[in-house]
Amino acid sequence: MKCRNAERLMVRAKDSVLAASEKDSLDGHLRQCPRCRRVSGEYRDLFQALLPVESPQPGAYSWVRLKAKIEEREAAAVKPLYEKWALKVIPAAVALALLIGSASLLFRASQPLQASSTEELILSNTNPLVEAQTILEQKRLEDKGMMLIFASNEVGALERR
Amino acid sequence: MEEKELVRLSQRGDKESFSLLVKRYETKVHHLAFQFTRNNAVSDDLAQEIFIKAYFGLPKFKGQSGFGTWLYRIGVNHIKDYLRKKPKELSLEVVPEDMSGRPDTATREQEARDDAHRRSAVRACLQAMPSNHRIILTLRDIEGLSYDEVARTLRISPGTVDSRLFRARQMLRKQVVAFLEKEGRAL
Repeated sequence: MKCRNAERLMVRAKDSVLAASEKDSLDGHLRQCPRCRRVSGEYRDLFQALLPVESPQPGAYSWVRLKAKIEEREAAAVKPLYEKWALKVIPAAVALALLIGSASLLFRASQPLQASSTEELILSNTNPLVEAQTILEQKRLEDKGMMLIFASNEVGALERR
Repeated sequence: MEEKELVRLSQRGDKESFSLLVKRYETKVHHLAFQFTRNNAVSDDLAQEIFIKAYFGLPKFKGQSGFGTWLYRIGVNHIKDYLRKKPKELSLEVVPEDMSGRPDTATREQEARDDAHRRSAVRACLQAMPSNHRIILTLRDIEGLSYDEVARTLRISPGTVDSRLFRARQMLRKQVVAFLEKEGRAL
């Protein structure tokens, strides 16, 4: 058995019972290896030194103090929650107001500017009565009808524009 | 009352049930903190903080592990944080047991001094080790947790516990031997 394997078994022996074959080969190795005998003794003393000798007890009234601290934190947790919300609500309200304002401006700007029919006539410098007079002055009934049709078509085209 | 029932009631904010859980685990948690800090007052404070964390963390506890393992995990993480922030407050001194008034006092006093010195050396070397080695040694060799409990507490496999524990023990032995050899002593 190599020294490294022997050391593994020495350490494992602390946690569990070794198999008979492992124990035999470890004992055999320890009999003939002074270095591993020394290491084995060091592990034994080390584990002994690690065992706790003091048994400290929690302080008196530990639950009373703990309960007070828990209640204190519970009470403190309510206030920051309100403060946290207040801190969030104010900028959110400002942002919302800005959004609504800009949206309404945008909406207004996107509305098409539509002139009334009177404004259209003024802009095109047209007298509607002249046209009506011309139609009325026609002698033939067919001519009147045709002109009325053309006029109504023209009105429709204007509205579509 | 069963632990599961106490945990369930505590999760609903029942402080009386939580007080019973605290009663069951306060010595263990305090002991764990003491092994890292060697200071009773600091251990008291740490134990209280661990229980406070546990109380407020209870709604997240799903019961996949035992309450004790979960509490130990919170404890180990909290102590790790504490040691990262305040490593210099630790006292490694072990006070020899008072033997006055007993027969064969001189010999026993010398033995007690040697023992205390050895323990101090072991503790000094333990404190100087990397935290993952130090934690696994504390849980297994000082607190006496089983391999499975250590594995669940640290969320590692039992195989990793085995290999890490071997390396940690090996390193600690070498460091303690070197430490004592400098003083002309042996382990």
